Amino acid sequence: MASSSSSSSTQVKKITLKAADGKHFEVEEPVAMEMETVKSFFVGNEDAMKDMVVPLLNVSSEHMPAILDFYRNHSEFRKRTPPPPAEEVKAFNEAFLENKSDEQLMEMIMAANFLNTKELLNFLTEAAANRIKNKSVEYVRAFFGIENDFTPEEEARIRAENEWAFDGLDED
Amino acid sequence: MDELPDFTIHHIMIYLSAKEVVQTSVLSKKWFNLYVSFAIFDFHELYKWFIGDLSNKNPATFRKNETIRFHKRLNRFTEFVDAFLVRFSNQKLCMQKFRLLIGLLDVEASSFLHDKWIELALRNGVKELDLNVQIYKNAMYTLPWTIFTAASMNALTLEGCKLEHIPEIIRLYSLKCLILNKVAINKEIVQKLTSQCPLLEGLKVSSCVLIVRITISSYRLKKLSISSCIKLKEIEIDTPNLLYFYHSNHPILTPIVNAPCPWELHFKNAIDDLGNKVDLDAQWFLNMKDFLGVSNQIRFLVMDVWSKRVQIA
Repeated sequence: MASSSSSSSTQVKKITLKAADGKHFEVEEPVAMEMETVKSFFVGNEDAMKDMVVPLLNVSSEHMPAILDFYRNHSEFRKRTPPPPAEEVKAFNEAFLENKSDEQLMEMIMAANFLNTKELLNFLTEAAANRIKNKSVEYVRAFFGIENDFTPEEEARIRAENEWAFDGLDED
Repeated sequence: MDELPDFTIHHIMIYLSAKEVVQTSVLSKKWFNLYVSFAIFDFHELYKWFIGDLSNKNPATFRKNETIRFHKRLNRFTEFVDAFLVRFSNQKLCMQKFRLLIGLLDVEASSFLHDKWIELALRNGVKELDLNVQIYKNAMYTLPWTIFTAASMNALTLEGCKLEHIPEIIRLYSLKCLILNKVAINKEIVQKLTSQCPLLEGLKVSSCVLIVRITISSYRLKKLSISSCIKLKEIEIDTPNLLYFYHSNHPILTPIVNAPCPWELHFKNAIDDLGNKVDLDAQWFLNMKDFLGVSNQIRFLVMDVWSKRVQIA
């Protein structure tokens, strides 16, 4: 994966993360520290506890490789001088999302929320927003797995109140 | 599948247009509540959407049926904003951002409503306030003085309105960034704002056509930009910790500026009372020479001038 060209022999410290289903992931320290939840685990115990395994109760091992891949690449983008061309970042981001189903995207948002990683959360929520733009109410409900708990009357009333937002511009 | 946590849903809403956010109100009860509690109000964009094809026109040139259409759309927009703000403020939540663009045909008739909206935003501890009041005649909307008491506001952007009735003590304790564009202000207000906002780091004053004197004294200020203030005659700036100074105007005589940082200067023709460019004369060049002598850190100098008489080699 990302460890392709570690030129010098300086050992990068690794931290072990444990996903919800018990699988272990060895992660380079700077990458792991992008996640506030992991970081907060070590605050005040800088050295002593680096060997500990950090349990991530809400993150399934299915999504860990993708999340780590995102951070390895983005932290590399940030470090590079001169900064990488916008197209390169865009291409990576697009490829990252390409084969993710809606459901996988939701699960990853939940994982990013739990891990408290701003960059990934921004990226994924924007992706979710893009997927529901210009879509019908029914589509959006299905997308998020929302159960409509309005009575038909209630729903009709809200629609009527904000009728303009559901139709095109009024005819005047 | 589990539903997303509330926080992440609000996060998604950030990337939706204001109209799309309104559409989420109908998804479910949970989403309705999330929609009502979404703390970012971009009525700037909604206004353009409501007013549609009329938003880029000057109402002075409206034909009769356009005026009627404009009023009808403006009323709908106003009703929506009003209902939304009242509903939000009933929840006693903190407002992140309030951004409003509105065009007014009758400033006096509608100012009570805008006062009310601003009050609601302030009462909900708004952090970012961005008001743009398009004016078509000379009448300008005067902001309520309470705007100077917004202790939690950290960014204020104003366009097209008037600031007066400044209270003795202002309480903009969190204000970091202030942008004034086409705002009717005077020397006292600028002076007071810059000396009494303890955290103010960025100030931009542009196209404030009435201001004649600018006096600023601040140890905090890091970025200062003054541009297109056509009546400007005097500036007196004491900002020892400034990091960047931008000035774009006709050169004025004997500016007093203590700003040991890089400067970017754009010199333009003076503008007369009718809005016409005044041809360059000897005085203009003397003023410029004088101005350039004030700093030895001028990074950029641009002369964007027009002249019939002078040949610039």
